[in-house]
Amino acid sequence: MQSDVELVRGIIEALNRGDVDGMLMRMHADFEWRPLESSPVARVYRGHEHVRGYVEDWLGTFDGLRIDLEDPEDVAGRVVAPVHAHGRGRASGLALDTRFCQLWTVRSGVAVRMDEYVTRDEALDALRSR
Amino acid sequence: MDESDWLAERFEEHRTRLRAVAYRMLGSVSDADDAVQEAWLRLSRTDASRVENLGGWLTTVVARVSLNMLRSRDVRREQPLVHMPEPIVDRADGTDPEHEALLADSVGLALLVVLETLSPAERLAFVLHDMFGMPFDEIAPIVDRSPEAARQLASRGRRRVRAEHTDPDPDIEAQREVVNAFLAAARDGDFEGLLAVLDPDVVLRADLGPAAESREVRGAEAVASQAQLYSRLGLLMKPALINGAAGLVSTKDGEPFSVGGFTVRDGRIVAMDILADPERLRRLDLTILED
Repeated sequence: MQSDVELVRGIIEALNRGDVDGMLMRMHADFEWRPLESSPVARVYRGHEHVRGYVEDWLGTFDGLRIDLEDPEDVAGRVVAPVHAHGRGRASGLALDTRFCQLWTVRSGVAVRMDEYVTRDEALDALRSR
Repeated sequence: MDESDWLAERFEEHRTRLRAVAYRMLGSVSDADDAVQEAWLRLSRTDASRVENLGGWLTTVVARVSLNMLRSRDVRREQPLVHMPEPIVDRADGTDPEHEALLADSVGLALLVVLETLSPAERLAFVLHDMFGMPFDEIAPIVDRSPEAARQLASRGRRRVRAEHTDPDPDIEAQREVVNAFLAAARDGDFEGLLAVLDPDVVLRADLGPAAESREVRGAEAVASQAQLYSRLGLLMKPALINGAAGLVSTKDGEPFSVGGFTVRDGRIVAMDILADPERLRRLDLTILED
């Protein structure tokens, strides 16, 4: 059986191919994507339709968008995945180069939720407080 | 309302202002939307918990994106004599609320045309300081200059804008009367009548697209002669608001032929700015003018 970490890898690899359907097939219909809460524009994307819109916005706005997973690991039943995102603004040409940490919740072989944090330590703190 | 909705609402409060900044920087609604979209996505990956002035900070991000778009546009595009920005077209009897928000504080076509002639850094410094009140010490890091150098950039921009008299009379009805008198005189071939409504230093700028040479004509007699020529083309003229000021949309054989904005000061036309690029006209939404 596929591990939770492998499932997350599959989602990120699909994203890097621009294969949104490939991402969504690994996500529950009510999947919640929670971008960085401390961002001034934070909001939650719930369900395939909203997640698709959000991901397609990213793919349409940045050329060569890629997320590199940096040693994802299973911690207390969640996947803690530090990531490095990079690309270039299609209209502006400005580089995107950012590191943050994703905390994935997987149930019965599908992803049900993903929260983003500034650092791995913040993600682990959030995990401990749940 | 949950927390995420509340946060999204906070951004929406700023979105109108951000679109307005980007439109003044880029002269195009669609490019402004692209800039705000890119800024939004970048911000969704940014920890802003320690940001004290969210509005100023958001403006800075959009300005940075817009500045780079301007710079890359300058590299890609061979600069024509006149590049007409994307006009915002409304019915003569009222402005769409969304357009009204975008045009708040009046940004006429003539002003945008002058802004197109500034360097990207001059444009940014002038727009952020003179139109949005951003202090020079906040503008300086965006253009990678000292605050004093940023002040000089804005000052150069201001001089260019003032030299072109881009502020119209505020009374839209008075503007409309002058434009109607101009049209009537052009239609009747009344050269003296045309001269009576044209400022002696009037400028006519026309962007005809890449297939034809854009043109800039100065002086009342030269502009009146052009107007007489155009009156023989058999165009159907429809009054409209162009960037919130009196203007016209013309069609020929049912197809858009031109969009023209007029700047009227002290009862005379000081500038006529015309977009007649067939490809760009096709991309404008002119259905709003249909009866």
